[in-house]
Amino acid sequence: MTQGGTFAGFRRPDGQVGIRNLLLVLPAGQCANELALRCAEGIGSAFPLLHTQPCAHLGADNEAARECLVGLGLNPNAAAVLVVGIGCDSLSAQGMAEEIAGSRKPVEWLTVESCGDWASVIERGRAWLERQESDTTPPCREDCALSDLVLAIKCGGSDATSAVAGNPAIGRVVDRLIDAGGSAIFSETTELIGAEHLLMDRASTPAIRSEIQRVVSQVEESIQATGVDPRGTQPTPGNIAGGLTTLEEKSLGGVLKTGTRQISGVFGWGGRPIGRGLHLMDCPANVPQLLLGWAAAGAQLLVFSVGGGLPARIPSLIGTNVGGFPLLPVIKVLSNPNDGDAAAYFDVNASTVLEGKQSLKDVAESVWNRIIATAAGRHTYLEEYPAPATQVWEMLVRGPTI
Amino acid sequence: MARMEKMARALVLHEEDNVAVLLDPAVDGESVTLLDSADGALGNIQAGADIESFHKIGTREIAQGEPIVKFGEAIGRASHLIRAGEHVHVHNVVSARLSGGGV
Repeated sequence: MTQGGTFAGFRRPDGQVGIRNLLLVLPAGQCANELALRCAEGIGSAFPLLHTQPCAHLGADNEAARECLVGLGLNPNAAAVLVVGIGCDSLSAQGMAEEIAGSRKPVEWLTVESCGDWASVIERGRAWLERQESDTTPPCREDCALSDLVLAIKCGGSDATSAVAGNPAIGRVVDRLIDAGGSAIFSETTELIGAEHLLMDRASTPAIRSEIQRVVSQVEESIQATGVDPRGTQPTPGNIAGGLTTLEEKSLGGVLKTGTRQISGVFGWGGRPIGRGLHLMDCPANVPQLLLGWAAAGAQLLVFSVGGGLPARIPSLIGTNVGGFPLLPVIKVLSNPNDGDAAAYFDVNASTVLEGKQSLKDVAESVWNRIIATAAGRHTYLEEYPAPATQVWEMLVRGPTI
Repeated sequence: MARMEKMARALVLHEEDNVAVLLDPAVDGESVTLLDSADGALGNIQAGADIESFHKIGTREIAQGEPIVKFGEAIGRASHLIRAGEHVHVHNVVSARLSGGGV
């Protein structure tokens, strides 16, 4: 079944479609975070994406971080990219900038080494960003096919209502997007434990079926190997207070948001999906790492299903600390009617399903409409939320750190 | 799922389930109406405890070691006998996967 429909996005030179028009300022490593902040300061559409990449990581982690940073630069919500570094960074600012420039969007790189000193990086960086903002013709939104949409999907602050309202509603939306030729990426491998058999049965090939089993077994074995009883962490105390008893129960409710369609691929954090359709990104359920991974994989927006209880009382993004992540606008969906007074923190209130006021079909329609409106430029609740500081985003480290 | 009367309601998500999700808080001893996902009444069960809304109520007796079934899937095992109408949660269920041990 194919459904028509378009959304108004920004077509980039490489064919990808952005839904926001950011000037991304990307530090090559954490020593360059201050440079990124100072370059972007006061420039309206500039987003300094501060992160934790050190010089103390070994091969595989460095490679994944490099892939992630390049992927962030390639994300179509970034209209132009400035990479800043020291020059002695473990990942080369020049190398990453050259790779990002393959997308033919405007890209510049500056380091203390190449500019001569610290202040010159800031001076030249600011001048470049200001030119991008004022001199270039602003891109126009145009009608883009739904097949150009890449949706990230997540649940958090889950309780028993998530599996009755928000998650199955999002599942319907994902089915609709996949049927229209679009893409969706789910992750949080830990929270697939106990539900992986259902996902394996949806794998498009035997190799993908084995890959789903492999990534879930790997995380389960790594938890068992610590000898630590994970109860109290998975499920979390909040999950348990909300009626979720075991990790299997949480997982089985969580995978409802993936809908029912075939799973077309599995890829690691930092990587990108091959082709369209529904994909699994192998990453733990840690929000900062997930957001970086999804944005690096090319997702343009995230639908975040929240159950209720205390996590629903957090106005900003659950699982982060102080700042927003403009590269990946987030649509928050609430499920628990007992938290109706926190509904103002959300973009869609799915708790009406539990109150008998709306059907799942109606709520799924609301989520769908919010996605299309957000893609066309309407701000989400979090995009309007005044972040009190700039967050430093955590890179995924599988270790060791030396 | 409109509430027709004051009786507490519980949602049975799958026909093979042995637990239901309470849509209203249940008081010990009260009769709870079991509903399917299409809002059809499946019968009543007497609550064996005060149970918060959205927590699970056992819909039949579950023997020690028997799977707890929700969504038509096993979500864990009974750590001891659970009687119909009891609150089904961490005090009487263990994960079959990450429990740090068996039943």
